[in-house]
Amino acid sequence: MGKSVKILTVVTAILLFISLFLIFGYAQVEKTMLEVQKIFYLHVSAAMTVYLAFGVNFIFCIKYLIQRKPDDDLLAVSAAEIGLVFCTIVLLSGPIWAKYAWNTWWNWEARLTSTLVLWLMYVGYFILRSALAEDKRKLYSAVLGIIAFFNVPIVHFATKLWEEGAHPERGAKVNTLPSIQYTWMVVLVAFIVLFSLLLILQYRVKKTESRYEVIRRKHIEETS
Amino acid sequence: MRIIIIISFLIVVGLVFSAIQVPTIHSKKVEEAIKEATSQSQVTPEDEDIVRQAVTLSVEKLESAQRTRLKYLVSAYLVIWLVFMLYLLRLGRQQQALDQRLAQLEQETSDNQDESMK
Repeated sequence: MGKSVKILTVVTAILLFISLFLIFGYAQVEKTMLEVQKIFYLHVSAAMTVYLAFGVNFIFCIKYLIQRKPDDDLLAVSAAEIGLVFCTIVLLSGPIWAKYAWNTWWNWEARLTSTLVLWLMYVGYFILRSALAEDKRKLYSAVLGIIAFFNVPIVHFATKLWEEGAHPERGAKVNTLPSIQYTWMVVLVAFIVLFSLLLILQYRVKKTESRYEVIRRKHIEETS
Repeated sequence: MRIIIIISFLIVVGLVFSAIQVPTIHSKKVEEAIKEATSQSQVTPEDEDIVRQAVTLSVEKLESAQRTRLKYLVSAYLVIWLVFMLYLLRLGRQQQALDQRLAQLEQETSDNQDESMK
């Protein structure tokens, strides 16, 4: 593990501890949802990190299509994998909130449905990658990565586009306490730093994988 | 990777501990409140019993509601931690397996090269 990764790991750990302290020790208990509202900090921050991860995937998919550098494909797939993990977190923590707030685990409202579609699209991205041969894999998955990203603004503006559902409308004025706002901001920063760390670690795995493949092919050629 | 897993584990332990620490309504305080309410006005012992029952019942309801809320809170945080843990474990194992396979392959390649040189 490099020095910079070690530093980033320590920074991430510190930020996560601070986040936890702020959530349970500083942020006031919200009056409507009471203790359950504390799910919001991780749920919403994870949702924002999903946007970031799929945004990074989108950028590197475009970059790959223009420059055809294998490293861009590795970064794109790494970002998509982490995005999928965060999206899974959003989809799992959301129903727990929903069960308490709306007395149902799931309802087919715009935000929930579009998030599920987003998750399924990126699952499709990985299925496509595993199904295709090496030469086609990078190209086709880059195209799918770009297409899949167009679902991100749909998820974000879902409450505005379809004005029904349980999620609060985007930009709606909510009387949030300053302690809640500050805490959420710190948690969001912690999640962004965590995403950066995971991206580096995931990219390393992908890089080793591709190096292994190159050496393996060379080895087969030499022995045959 | 181990450091991350240990740190994340500590975070969850801290979280569960914090959730347990959330104060519930203390029975002594309930008793004091009942005494205070009944001492200010002239009430019969029967009335005092009714007040006691009503207060105890509402406190029980409040505490039960709080326990339910904490169950939701802890389960959400545990689910999030579990997803992260599974992902990190998978990532660590992947890296470990790849490093091993890579070292093995590099060794085989160098052995082959040595043989061909001979």
